[in-house]
Parts: sequence; structure tokens; C-alpha cells
Amino acid sequence: MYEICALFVGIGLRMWLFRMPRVLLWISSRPEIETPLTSWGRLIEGEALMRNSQSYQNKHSYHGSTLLLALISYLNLNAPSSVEILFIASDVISAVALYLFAQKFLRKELKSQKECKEKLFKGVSSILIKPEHVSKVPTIICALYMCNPFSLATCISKSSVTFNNLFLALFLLSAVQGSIWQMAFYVALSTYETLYPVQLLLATGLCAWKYQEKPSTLKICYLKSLACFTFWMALILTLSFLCEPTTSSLLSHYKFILSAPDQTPNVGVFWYFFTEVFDHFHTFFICVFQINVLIYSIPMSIKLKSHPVFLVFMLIAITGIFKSYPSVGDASLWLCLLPLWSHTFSYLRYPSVTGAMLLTSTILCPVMWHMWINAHSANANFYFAATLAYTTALVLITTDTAMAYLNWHVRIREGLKPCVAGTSEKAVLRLMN
Amino acid sequence: MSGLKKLLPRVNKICILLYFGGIVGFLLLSHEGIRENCYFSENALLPGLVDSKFSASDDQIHNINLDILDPNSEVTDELEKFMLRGGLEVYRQKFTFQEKFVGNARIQNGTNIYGIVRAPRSASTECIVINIPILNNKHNFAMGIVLALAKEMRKQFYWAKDVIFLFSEHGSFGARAWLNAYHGIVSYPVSANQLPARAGSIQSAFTVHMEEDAVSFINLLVEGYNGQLPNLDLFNVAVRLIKIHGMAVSVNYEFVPRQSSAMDDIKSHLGATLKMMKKQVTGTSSGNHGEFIRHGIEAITLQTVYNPQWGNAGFVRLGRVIEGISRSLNNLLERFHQSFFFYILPSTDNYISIGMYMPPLGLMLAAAAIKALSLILEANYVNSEETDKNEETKKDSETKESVEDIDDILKDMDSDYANKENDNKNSEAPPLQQILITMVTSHMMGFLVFYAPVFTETWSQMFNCPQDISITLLLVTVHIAGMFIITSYRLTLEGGKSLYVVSLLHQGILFGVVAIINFSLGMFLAVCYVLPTILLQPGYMKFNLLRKFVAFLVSPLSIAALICLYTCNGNPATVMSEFVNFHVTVYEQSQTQQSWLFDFIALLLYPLWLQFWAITSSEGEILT
Repeated sequence: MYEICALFVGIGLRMWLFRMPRVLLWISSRPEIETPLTSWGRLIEGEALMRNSQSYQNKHSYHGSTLLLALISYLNLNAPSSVEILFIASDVISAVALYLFAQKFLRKELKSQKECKEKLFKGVSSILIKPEHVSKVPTIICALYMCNPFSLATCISKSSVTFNNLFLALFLLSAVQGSIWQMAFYVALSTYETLYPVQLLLATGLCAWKYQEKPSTLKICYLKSLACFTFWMALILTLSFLCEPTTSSLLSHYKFILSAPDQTPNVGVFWYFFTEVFDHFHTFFICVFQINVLIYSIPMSIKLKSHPVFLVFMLIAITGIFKSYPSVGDASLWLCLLPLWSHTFSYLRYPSVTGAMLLTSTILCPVMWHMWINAHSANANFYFAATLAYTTALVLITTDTAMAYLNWHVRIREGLKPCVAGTSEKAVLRLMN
Repeated sequence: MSGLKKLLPRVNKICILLYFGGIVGFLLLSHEGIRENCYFSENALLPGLVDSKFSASDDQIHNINLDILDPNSEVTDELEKFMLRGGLEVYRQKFTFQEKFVGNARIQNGTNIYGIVRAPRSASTECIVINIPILNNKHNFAMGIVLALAKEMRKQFYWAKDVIFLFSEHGSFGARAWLNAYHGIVSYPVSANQLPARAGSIQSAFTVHMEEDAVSFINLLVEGYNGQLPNLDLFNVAVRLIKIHGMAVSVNYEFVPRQSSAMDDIKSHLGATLKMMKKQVTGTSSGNHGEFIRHGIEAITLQTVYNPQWGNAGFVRLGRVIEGISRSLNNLLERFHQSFFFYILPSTDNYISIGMYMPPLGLMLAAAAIKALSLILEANYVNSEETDKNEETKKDSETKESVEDIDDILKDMDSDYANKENDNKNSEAPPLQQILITMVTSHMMGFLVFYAPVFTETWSQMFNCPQDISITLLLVTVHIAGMFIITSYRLTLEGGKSLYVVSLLHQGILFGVVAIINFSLGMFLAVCYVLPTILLQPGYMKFNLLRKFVAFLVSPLSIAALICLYTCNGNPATVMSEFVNFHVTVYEQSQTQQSWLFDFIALLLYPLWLQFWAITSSEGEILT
């Protein structure tokens, strides 16, 4: 009931905001929301160039994917009003997908908890997953996705992050169903759009291995998902090639993501560093920064082998923080998923501090932007400081969540207050164990 | 951790100490050791290094002024004639604007007239603006000076930037109309015609304001809109040149005090600092230069003051000052960027930089943050102690407990949750829900206050009163209605405490962010709000009335009333009219000058205060 209310409130808010030109104008010019890769303005410009020059090579301003451009230009030409509906619908589908995913996932967790209750330590019932989690958390996640300011802003600025979030939400839903075909399809779509989700392939195999109805070995799962992914990817790329028959246009999209040539300020860590660093070291640091985004997937998929959904959550979070053109829309998806781990929240170390930090830095970003660009009294360092605080807050939230999650798993097996063997000393958990 | 635990009962004292530490730190800012001497950061300015070429005499300038004052013709016509004779390019711009929003709201007309001296040494890519406001009921005697100057400039060969002499009507409206047209933007409530000619990008500007035909000293006005300030280098140039030409200079009518005891020194510098901050709090500009700063053009106003006891320095000196500043600006190689943008001025020779004035404010805001954190910690300790106790009692009957427990839990899994939800509704709502409801309600009330002035006319017809009274009545009514609406939803003690923590953090973030944009406003709010809100912690019912009183004392309404009481010096007859005037002024400034004060109070401060108000009427513990 509540989730349907939340859906309607979210739709209402979006439709209302779409009718407020001043708010729209302000939001669409925010660098925190719009990136060169995802901005609606660039999309429109790309469409206009494509239409007028008849040459598909004209991609100096538009850097997104070809299929998206084709879809949007088709819609814009035939039914301009449907674009807004498309964005709202995609958010609604994401919210519903997240709702169903959370419900299914928590049910499975509860079931597996029941199945292995012999392994649980005595007296830990207070921290276990309870049925009320299953009933409440999906609603909260749905409401959060529909009504939080990050996703609202992303939707009404018509940023293409909305679609990426849609693919990821659908991926999560299919992951918990264990269907390799669907998972691979959504990973392929998302990879086609923004490249980084390719690392979700590691989780795809694990998800299939854990949630498939017919059990099979991990190796086969991985091979299958890789094969499916290759198939879908080939299909999508072919389609894209048919839309725009040059290879350079395909490559330029990914080249733009990987080499991050546009240093328009955003909430990420790339722009400031690469405006400051000498050109001489540019390539080296680009590699370092890009490896930073991708490298965590390997150790984490080893550590979280039996928790693939948490692995997906962490990968989405890390990608959203460290990618070359991040926006608040990328963070909105995984921040909304946080209630999924509400049973581990009592092990968060400093939720109030990270929460306040995220809030403060989010408010500071537009203020510092105003001081720098409008008032001319501050400079780029002020804005970068705010975005760095934002990034730090997000990193702290992810590590804290991961820590609490692992801590919780140790606690249910070793008791609420595990002791170091042979002594009465309390064991303290560190991040590395 | 145990150390922290010991500190918890003393947190109120620590917070109060921090608060007063912040105030003392702020008062000490104007101490010799903390304020710094002004210096030139931009070497290109080279102030006062050239010989003055200004050769007009006092009589000549006086004659020009008399010509312009000719009662048979318009000032603008005379100005145009004179500038054309001097060989300048002269243009006119017409504009319309709306000055009043409450009462007789009508559209007025105005004319700007400007002359351009094209630089002989470069293409028209950069320019300087000298703005002379045409005063409505008085004469601006600076006109004679700049016209004489313009005539000479035309023949000089060393100008590298175009110089625009802008004679603007109707105060800041004229300047805004001209600047909007210059930059091709539109801003309500001014609508301006296109400019017939432009020069290059405006590097810097200054306004000269001379109401009498003699000058004793020059007062510099720096405050721009919403806490904006010009670059400190421009201020330094003006101060240096005024001194070089043998005139006294003040900022906010405060001079550099003579050497005296340390206490007097602090006092006089502090007085000047507070005067400047008082102007900044309102978010309006003290002169036409504010319009330039809004467009990212560094600007300052030179206001002459005549006091017969001090003698007359004469037109020529002022002319040389204007010439000197223009030549310094002419030397600029790039826009002002070197020196400080964030400062407060204790005198013309000193400044206090952002690095010095932020820490005292930080201390005060830290008091609120520490209070909030201590409450979170306290709650955590209480929780962990409770669970410890529970465990101890359970210890005996622990065998097989876990397995049974889990089975119990899991039995419910497929049952219908609807019943459970109904049960929850009857019991207390969780704190999070209470917080959300209160915060959303208070912010909706904020929106109501923001949109309330729309109904001014309806109310004035309904109650048959003038519009300025009706707008005050409206704002006060919505303000008080909000107080009742927010308390109609009763918070539990738990909810009150949680909302208190959230509101304290909210307050800290809000004031901190405001201080970055407008330090004076942030400081003023911190001084007013931090101490009372620290003392508002929900608890024993006994002190509830006292808490309510304290909370009401810092409501935006009471603060407005207190300011009015202060400004009318306790004369009770004028308090009411002052109060009405205050509301009208704040609203009109938000409309005509785009000052953010009204929007800020309505949309952010008032909702925050309402949250604290809701906390004071939450359920409390009864003292036993």
C-alpha cells in the first residue's frame, strides 16, 4: 500500500517539477547532476547536429551512446512530450524493480538463515533478519528511490544516468532470480552505456551460481554468463553499428570515458587532478585512476564469494564514486539500497558523522559553485574541496557498510561479543578480516 | 571511550564555554596582533606613481556645475551637450522600473546617459566605468569634476582601456538597467532598452557620490549585495590615492584611530568592524557599486562628506583622486584576482581575513555540533547498557534459546502483515517518522510565509487598511499560525530528542553555509541562536515554560521586534510604525534588489526555528 503511495507521490513530484521552468533551468545547469557524458543539453545538441549535418561523425559535443541518441531523436521528432514520460516511466520501473528485488532477496536471506540455523551462535536472535525486515525494507527502498532529491534531480534534468540506473535495477532483480540470460543482457546494456558495469560480470557468475534453480559449478556459471554477455554485447554493438555505420563513433564513446578529456567540473575526482597535472604524466595517471575504479572488483569478488548481491552493491557504489564522470544520480541508486542492510546497521561505526558529512557537502557544492562562478570571489579549490568532501563521505559510507556487513556475519556465527580464544578479552574486528 | 563518558554530563558547560569562547575570539579579531595591515597584492596597479595631469581649477569645475544646474533644461540634456563638446561618444538609454511593491506600485521611467572615451592605445577590448549617479532631489557635484576630467582624457594618449562615464538615474536601478543591457541579460523589476554602443569587457568600476559642493573627507562604501565585497586591492588603491592627495579617508565614517591605549584601540576598531557587519547583514548594497559587483566587476563607492569644521579640500583634489584611481586601473593587466575577496574592515588600513574570522564562528557552531553528538553518544551508551543488562538476566535461561527464538520469528514469515501494521499505528510512531512529519510541516509553513505577500492586496481590501500594514499582518499571522500548526502534532519525548539532534545539526550546517556567502549574517545568526538552542534540550517538564519563553525570544518575529525596539531607542510611539516598516523594507528589498534576506528567513530560518519550537512542546519527563 505504502509503496504504491510512494510511487504516486514520486510521479506527482516529477510531473510538478517538470512544470517549473526556473527550477528546471537551475537543475539542468548543475555540474553535480549533469556531466558531459549524460547531459540532456548535449544529447539535444548531438541530435540537432546529426539531423542537420547528416554526418554521423559530428560528435564533438555529444559523447553518449549511439542507440540512446537514436531513440531520443526518434521520440523527439515524433512525440516530444513522450520524452518526459519516458524518464518518469524509467524511474518508476526502476523503483518497482528495486522493490521486487529487495523483497525476493530478503526472503531468500531469511530462508537461508532458517536453513542454517544450526550454525548460528546462541543468543544472537536480536540481530538476525526478521520478517518485518522483509515487509518494510522493500517499501522503504521504493519510497527512497521515488522521492529522494538525488534521483528527482537526475530525472527532471533528463540525465541519461536514469537509464543506467534502470538497467542496474533490472540487473539486480534478475540477479536474485538467477537468470543468466537476463543478467547478461542488463550488464551488456549498462556496459554499452557507461562501460564500467562490465565488472559486474564477476558478480553475474556468482549470482547465477548462488540463485540458480538447477545447481551447477561456479566455472560453468562463469562461462555461461561470459558467453551470454558476449552474445548480447555483440548484438547491441551490431545494432549500434547499423544505426551509425562507422567504427570510430563506437570507439569515441568509450575513448571519451576512458581518457576523460573533458575536465568540466563534476563531483568526481578526475577533473581537478587532470587540470593540475602536467601533460607529461597525463597518460600514467589516467591509467592509475581508471585502474582504481576497476581493481576492487577482484579482491571483493573473492572475499564476497558467497554474498554476490552485496558484491553487486559494492561494485555499483565504487563505480558510482570513482568513475570518470560521476554525478549524484550514480550515488542515488546505491544510497537507496542501503536499507537492504538495515539488520547490520547496529555495527555501523559512525553513521551520524558520515550522514552529516554527506548532507553538508551536498549543500556546499552549489554554494561553492555560486561563490566561484557567480560571485567571482572564490576559486576552483573551494568547489573541489566540497566535491572531495562529498566523495569522502560516500567512500566512508561504503566502507562502513561493508565493515558492518562483515561484522554482522562474524557475530551471528561467533556470538554478540566474540572473545579472543583463551582469554576474556573482547575481540575487535578490523576492516581486513 | 571512558574519558568521553566522563565528559558527557559536562557537555552543556563545554558547549557554553565554546559559545562564549567564539564570542571572545570574535571580539579579539580587531586586536593589533590579529588584524593585518593592508598591502597591495597586485603589482600592476602602481598607485600614485604618475604625475597628476588634472589641470582644471576649482572655479572651472564650479562653472560646469552651474551650467548643468540650469533650471531651464534637463540635467541629461546638459550632460549630453557638455560631453559632445568635449569630443566624447555620447549615448542615451531609457529604462523602466518598479520601485515599490507594497502600496503605490507603479512603473517609473528613467534615462541613463553615458559617454565613452575610446582608448588611443588599444582596440576596445577592456574598459573602466566611472559611475556618477544623478540624484533625484539633489545635485551630484562630482559631475563637474568628471566632465572636466573627461575633456582632458580625450586628449591624453596613455589610456589603454576605454573609459565610460556613466550618469545613471534613480540610484541602483539605473546602474542595473545599464549593466543588464551591457551584458544582455534581463532582471526583474527593471526593463531596459538596448545600448546603442559598447566598449570592451568592464574590468573595474567606481561610483562617485558628492551631495555638497565642498568636501572634507571621503567615505568609502564597500558592501555589495548578499555579502559580496569588492577585491581588497581596489579598496587599497582608493585609500592610498585619497591619502596621497592629502585628504582624510574613512570606511563607514570610521577613521584610523590615533595611537592610544590597547583597550581604546580594540574598541574603536571593533566599532568599525561591527558597523560594516551591520550593513552586510541586511544583504543590500550601500551604493551603486553593488550592481557592478553582482556582475563580477570589482567596484567601490567614493562618498564625499562635508563638515564645515573640517574645512574644504576642494574639487581639484577629488578630481586628482578620480584621475589617479582611473590611471591605476588603466595599468591593470588582468582582472582583479590577487588580493582578498573575503574580509572585514576594522579600519581603512587593516583587514581581517577569512582565515581569522572563521574560527570564532567555527567554535560557536562546534558548540551546537558537540551538543548533538553528545546526545547521540549518550543514546548509544544507554542502549548498550540496556542490552548488557538484558543479557545478564537472560544468561540463565540461555540454553536452546536461540533455536526456539528463530523458529518463533520464522513462523511469522508467511503470515499477514496487515494486522501487525495496524498494531504499530496504535502505539507510538517511530522517531524517524515524527522527525519527517515535523520537518516537512515546518518547511511547508516556510513556503506559506514566502508566498504570503502575494495576498497583500486582498487583505488590505478585506480589513480596509493600508498595504504596508496588511503585509505585516499577513506575515505575523502566518508566523503565529505556523507555531500552532506545528505544535498540534505532539512529539513524544523520544521523538523530541531525535528531532533536537537533527535540528542542531541542521542549524550548524545552515549557519555555516550562510557564513560562507555572507559572514556577517552567519555570525549574527550564530550569536542569536546557538546559545538558546543548546539550552532547549527536551527533558523535565518543570522547565518547559522557560524553554518556551527562550525559544519564542529567538523567533524571527521577536528578533524583528527587538531590532525595532533597538532602532527607535525605546520610543514606544514609533515602535509599531518601525515594525511595519521593517517588514515592508525586508520584503521590498528582496523584490527590487534581489537581496536574499527575506527568502532566507522565510524558506530556511523560519522552518528551522519552527522545529525548535516543536521540540519545546514535546512530551517531557515529569520530575519526581
